[in-house]
Amino acid sequence: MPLSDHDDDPLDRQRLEFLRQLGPADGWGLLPAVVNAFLDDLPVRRAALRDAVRNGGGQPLAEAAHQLKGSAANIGASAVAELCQQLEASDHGAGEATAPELLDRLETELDRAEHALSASLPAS
Amino acid sequence: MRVLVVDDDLGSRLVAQAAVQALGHECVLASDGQEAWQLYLQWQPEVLLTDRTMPGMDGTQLCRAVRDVENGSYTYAILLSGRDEQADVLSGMESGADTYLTKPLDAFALQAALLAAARVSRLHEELNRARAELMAQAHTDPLTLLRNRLGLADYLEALHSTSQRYGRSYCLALCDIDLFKSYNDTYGHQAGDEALRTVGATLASLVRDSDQVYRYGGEEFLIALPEQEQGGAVQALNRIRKAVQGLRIAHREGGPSGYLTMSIGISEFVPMRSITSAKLLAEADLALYEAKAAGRNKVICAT
Repeated sequence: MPLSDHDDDPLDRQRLEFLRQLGPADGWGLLPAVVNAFLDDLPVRRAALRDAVRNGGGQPLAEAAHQLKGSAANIGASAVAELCQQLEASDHGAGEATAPELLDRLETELDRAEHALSASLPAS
Repeated sequence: MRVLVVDDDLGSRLVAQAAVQALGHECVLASDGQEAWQLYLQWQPEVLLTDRTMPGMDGTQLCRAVRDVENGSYTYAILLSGRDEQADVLSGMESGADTYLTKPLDAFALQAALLAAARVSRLHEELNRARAELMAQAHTDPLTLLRNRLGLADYLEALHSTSQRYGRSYCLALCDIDLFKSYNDTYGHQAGDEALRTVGATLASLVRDSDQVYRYGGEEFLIALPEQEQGGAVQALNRIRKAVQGLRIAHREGGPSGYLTMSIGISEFVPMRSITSAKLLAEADLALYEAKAAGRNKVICAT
C-alpha cells in the first residue's frame, strides 16, 4: 500500500474510493460505516496505547499497536498504520525512535487522520 | 459458498463481508476465534477467512482446530496478516491455512483466492461423493445387492455395545439354503445365482426396517434383529422359512417338498449376559447345524 498520493494527505484516497465502491450503491458505499467504526473505537485504542507506553511497552504495546495498525490500514490511514508498525516493532529494539517519541508522532498523525476522515463523510 | 469471516476489528469485518457478498457468496461474521469456532461447528462453511492475530484464540489456532475435526468435509482457510508477519504466515500455513492475504483486505486478491477456494471445495465434494460410492460398492454383494461381510464386524460390535448399554435383547439368525450344492449341480450355476438373488430379495423384503440382512457366505445369509427377543425372532424366521419354500423354486434333490428350502439357526443376546458377538455368531452356527441334522427346512434356537 503506497503512502498517500500527496505527502500532506494523511489518507490513501484509493482505499477510500475502494470503500465507496463496496456495499450500498448510494455513492458512499461502505465508507461511512467503516469510518464511523474506526472513529468510535479510536478513543479506547488511543488510551490503550498511551497506557502501554506509560507502563514501559512490552507485549501490551505490541498488541495495542497491532490492533490500531489493522483498523487504520483498513480505512486508508496509511501514515497512522506505518507509525503503529514502528511502535509494534519498537519492543524488539528495532528502529531508532523510542516508543514515547513514536507515540507523540502517532498522536499528531491520528489527529490529522481523524480530521480528514470526518471531512470525507457525507454532511449529516 | 459459505464464507466465515473472522476479525477482531469491526471495520475490517465490514469490508470483508461486503467484498464477500459482492462476489455472490454467503457470509457470517465472528469477532474472535472462540465465536468463529462455534460458528464453524454450526455452519460448516466452505471458506474460512480469518485474521491471523487476535486476542484469545488466534487465526493459526483456529485453522489447526478446524483441520483436527474435519472428517470428509473441507474448509478452505485463508489467513489475513500484516505485510511484516511473514514468519507468522508460515506457521499459519503449517497449521492448516491454504493461502494468505495481506491486510488491508483487497477485493481483487480476495476474488482470486475465492476462485481457488471454489475449485478446491468442488474437488473435495467430488472426492467425498466418489468415496461414499466406493464405500457403498465395497460393502455390497454384487449378486444379491445385500450387504456383504465387509462391514459386518463393525455393525455387530455397534449393535452389541448399544444393546449392552441400554439393556436390550437382539438376535442373530444364520440362514442356509438346503442342499444348494446339489441344486447347482442339477440346474447349473446360472440357475443357482438366480435362486440366490430371489432368496436374498425375499429375506430383505420380509425383515423389519431395523433388521439387517447380510450375504454371509456362498448360500448363507445372516440376519441381525436388533431389539428382538428369541420368541419374536423364531416367529419372524419361520415366516421367512415358509416364504422361501413358498417361492416354489423346484429342487428335485432338495428334500420331501421338492422345492428349495432353508435351514435357520438363531442365537439371542440377553442383557447382562457376558458374551461377545463372535460367540453369539458361533452359537447361531451350531443351531444351524442342528437344524440341518434334524432334517432341514427348520428354525432351531441355540441353547
